[in-house]
Amino acid sequence: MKSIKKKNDALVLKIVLSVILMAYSVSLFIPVLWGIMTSFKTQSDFRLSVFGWPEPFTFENYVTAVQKLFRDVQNPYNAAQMLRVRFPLMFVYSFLYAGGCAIFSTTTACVVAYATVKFSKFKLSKVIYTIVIVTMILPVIGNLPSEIRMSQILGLYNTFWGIWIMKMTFLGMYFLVFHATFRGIAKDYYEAAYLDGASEFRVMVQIAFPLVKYTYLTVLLLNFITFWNDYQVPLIYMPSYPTAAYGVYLFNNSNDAQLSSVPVRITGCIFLLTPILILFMVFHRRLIGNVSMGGIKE
Amino acid sequence: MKDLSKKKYFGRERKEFIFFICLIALPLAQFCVFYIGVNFNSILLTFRNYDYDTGYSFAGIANIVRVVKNLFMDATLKYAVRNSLLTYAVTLVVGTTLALVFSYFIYKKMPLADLYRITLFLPSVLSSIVMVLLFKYFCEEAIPEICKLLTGKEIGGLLSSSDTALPTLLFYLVWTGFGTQVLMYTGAMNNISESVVESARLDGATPLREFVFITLPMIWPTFITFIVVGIAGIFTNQLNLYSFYGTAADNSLYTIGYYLYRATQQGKLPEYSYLSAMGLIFTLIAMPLTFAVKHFLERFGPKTE
Repeated sequence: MKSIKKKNDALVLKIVLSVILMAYSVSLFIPVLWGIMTSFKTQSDFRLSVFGWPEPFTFENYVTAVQKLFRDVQNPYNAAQMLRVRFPLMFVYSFLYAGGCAIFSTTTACVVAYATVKFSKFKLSKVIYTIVIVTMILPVIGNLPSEIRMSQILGLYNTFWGIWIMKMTFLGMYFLVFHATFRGIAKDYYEAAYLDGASEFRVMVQIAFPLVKYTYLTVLLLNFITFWNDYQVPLIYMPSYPTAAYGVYLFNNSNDAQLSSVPVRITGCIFLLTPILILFMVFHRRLIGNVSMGGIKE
Repeated sequence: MKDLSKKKYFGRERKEFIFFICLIALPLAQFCVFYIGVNFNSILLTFRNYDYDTGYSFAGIANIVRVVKNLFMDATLKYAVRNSLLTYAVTLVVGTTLALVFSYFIYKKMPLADLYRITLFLPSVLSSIVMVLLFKYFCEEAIPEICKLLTGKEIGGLLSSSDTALPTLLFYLVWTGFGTQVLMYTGAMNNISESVVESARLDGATPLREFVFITLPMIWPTFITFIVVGIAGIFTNQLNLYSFYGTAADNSLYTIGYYLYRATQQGKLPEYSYLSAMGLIFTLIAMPLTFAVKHFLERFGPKTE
């Protein structure tokens, strides 16, 4: 009797959770689907029917978005000259910003994690691990003005290579992911390579890195997506290189009469959304694979 | 012979050390400049003032006194502190609880678990500015329309009404915030030994008992990480205000994170010292809190033995 009651309780719990998760999933897709539908509507059609099917179905908003979305910025090499950056160029800047920052930050975390695991006998390895843990839990608030000043003093402000260097950090959660992955590799792999006369560099590049290539790719993709979606850092550190995310932000705060219609503004969002949605559909298994890390207590 | 092998050993160790230094030199230099240097400079800025004509000058604790005074006098800052704490409380109580329950659901491979894993992670992948704007227009344009259709009542946009704006922003934060937590919790849960779970099941443990007495203790280190990192972020969380409102958010919606970012983004050099002083004060508040919570959770949390 007791066991039947337990089974019933478990079933009720399962059903309740299933309903909550289903409602959540539906609620997540509704605004996105509504946005896609709205992007094919004219302003007057949208005003007449916020929900209805586009009548007429038009690509006009996409043309307007490409034509009207631009930002006049100061030429970084000649302050007196203004340059017009259009939406396609913003996409190029997005690729340079997101791609460069993702490669630099992922590679740095991977290499430093490898060094601290492989050479754990050196005290500095423990120091680096402690630095990562402490900086993760140490709240640093309001250092943005100082960081801007520092980047200006070092000549890194408003340049791609400057922002890449600034993002070349090993601090953060992904260091712990790489650290846990390298710790899981048996030392026998390295020893066999040493016996064959391999150098430290060859062991790292030809033995260790191929063993963590899937973790590397996952972290690289996650970093790429984060940087692609980020508009606040380019807004502050690269005012002459507006990225697509920054463009969408500008788009929605523009005073231009043609850009003030909701369907046109939503179209700008759909433009930015599409590449990441495709990337997610292709790599979703890799992105949400079994990534795990230890706690912050060693 | 012994000397020769000793020499060989130390030769290899020296080579290893040189290689190790080569790997970490550049990242450590970057850390020294962009973490230690930046934060040191931030502390220095706290005690200096900037004037467009005369440049920097020593200001003593004037900026700190100004911040402390404003924390008691300035209504915007009072709102900002209240909202920052409220944001953390809501994400902790509602967000973390739901993330744990959802992760357990996925870990137990319940119906459609893989699909939910994807949908829960989706908001973390999609651009926050895009999600924010789609949500914003949906709340401002579509929800009043739905309300009119269902009840016949006319209501304003949820984000433009002072009564509904803050709850809507908090809802959005929780609604889109499960991704990384679910990913890490399910990753940690999948590492739990199957034999432990199986023996609990044979002892007749209900799913709730299994969750409380086996799953939670086993993922406790990951749980602590999120709680502690969350506390560290109390005063940096912007509640997505910049994406929702740009620089024009209502004062009653401010958080400390938004206040600092907005003011810094305006790019007025003389204000940087005041903002650095504010950052230092909130760092000094959050730091002991973070360590105290970490210590408390580690000491009194469930044990796996």
